[in-house]
Amino acid sequence: MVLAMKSTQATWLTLTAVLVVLLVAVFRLDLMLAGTAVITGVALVYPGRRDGSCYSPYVLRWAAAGALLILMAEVIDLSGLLGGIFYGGVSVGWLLILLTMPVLAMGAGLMIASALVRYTVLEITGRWVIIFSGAFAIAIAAVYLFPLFVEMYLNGFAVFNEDARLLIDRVSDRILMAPVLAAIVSVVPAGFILRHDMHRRKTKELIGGTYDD
Amino acid sequence: MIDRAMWIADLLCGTACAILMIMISLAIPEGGRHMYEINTGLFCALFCLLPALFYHLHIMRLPLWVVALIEFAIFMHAYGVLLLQYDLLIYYDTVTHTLSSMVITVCIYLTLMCVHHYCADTRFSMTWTLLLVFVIMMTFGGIWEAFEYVVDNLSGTMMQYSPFDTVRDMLANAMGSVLGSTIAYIFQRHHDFDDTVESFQLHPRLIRVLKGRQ
Repeated sequence: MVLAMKSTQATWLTLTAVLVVLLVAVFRLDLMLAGTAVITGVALVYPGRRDGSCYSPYVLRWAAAGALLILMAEVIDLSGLLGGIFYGGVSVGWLLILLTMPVLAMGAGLMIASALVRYTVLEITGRWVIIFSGAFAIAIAAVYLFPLFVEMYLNGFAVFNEDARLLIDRVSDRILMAPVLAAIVSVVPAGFILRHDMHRRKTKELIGGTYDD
Repeated sequence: MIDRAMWIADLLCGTACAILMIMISLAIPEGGRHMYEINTGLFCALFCLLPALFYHLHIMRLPLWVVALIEFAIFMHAYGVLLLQYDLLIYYDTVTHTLSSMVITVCIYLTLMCVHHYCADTRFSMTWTLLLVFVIMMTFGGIWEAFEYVVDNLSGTMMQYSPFDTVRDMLANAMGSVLGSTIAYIFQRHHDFDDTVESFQLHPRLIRVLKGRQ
């Protein structure tokens, strides 16, 4: 759908989807999702603010797809369709959100790389863009460990050595590692799709067109 | 003919390997040592020889300060494992994690310098390089913790003690990455970029790999 639109419309549509994700994240007090949405939003509007240009539809499609997938996962989780279903003590609804978050983060990584190619002396091939996008998504999941740890501590989970070693079923480890494991699972297939998308595409063309197109 | 810096590097590698071998021989007769400790010590001792081997096999010539950093990081880890410093000293784990991350950051940075120098369609900027190095380090840290978690679940080992231990490791990774990036930034300000990469004397095959498909 985004491919068939004008760049301006596609940018505004993507931005709206990202803002809705931000609202949901704030509503649910999900700091990392809110942070990812803010990074994506800033990266999305930066070229327009700087010189009136916007990303190519191929880049926008990633951010839009990521935002829509997260919204679908949030709707499923909030509707209670997966309520009470746990996998190894971890909520499946939350796992679904974690699986979709890296797609949005990859979109943000893709936009950051594209903007750096456009506005700095940086010259990189498509492979570097893919590596950066994938690494960015996993790095975001790795940073997620910090707020998650604080949240687990406040909720009374066994988080310290002396408490954790008394447990037979170490559910706190599973909860803590869920974002990184989910990111790895999502980034691998997404990386292959991105590689297919980037094939024969020049990195200089990732920001193309203006709001007047 | 061997140059003075490489002679010192050889001496460092050989000494680190020899000391670790002595520590392994001391650790074997002691009770309570698992094969994990002995194997780790042996692997680290052999790993200490890599920079010297790389030079003598004409694969690459690492700068003396990089060799010293690598040897120190490996030695500290092996010493901790073999003589149980990880269990005895509270912050030993954090120190070794920070040190290892710093060394890996420097190595990634030098690799990116080589790509920048040899790959015709790639030109890295300083901002990009530092950002990429930090992102890659956090990614490696995350993947490593996931690996530890999976291994613990499959084999029953205790590589991850608790969520606190995992988060502390990740924090050490981030600190090491920032320290390594700072060292790399200072290094680049005081050294000519092309001269540095040329001084690595990379093997022609490695150069071909770095050049990629033209």
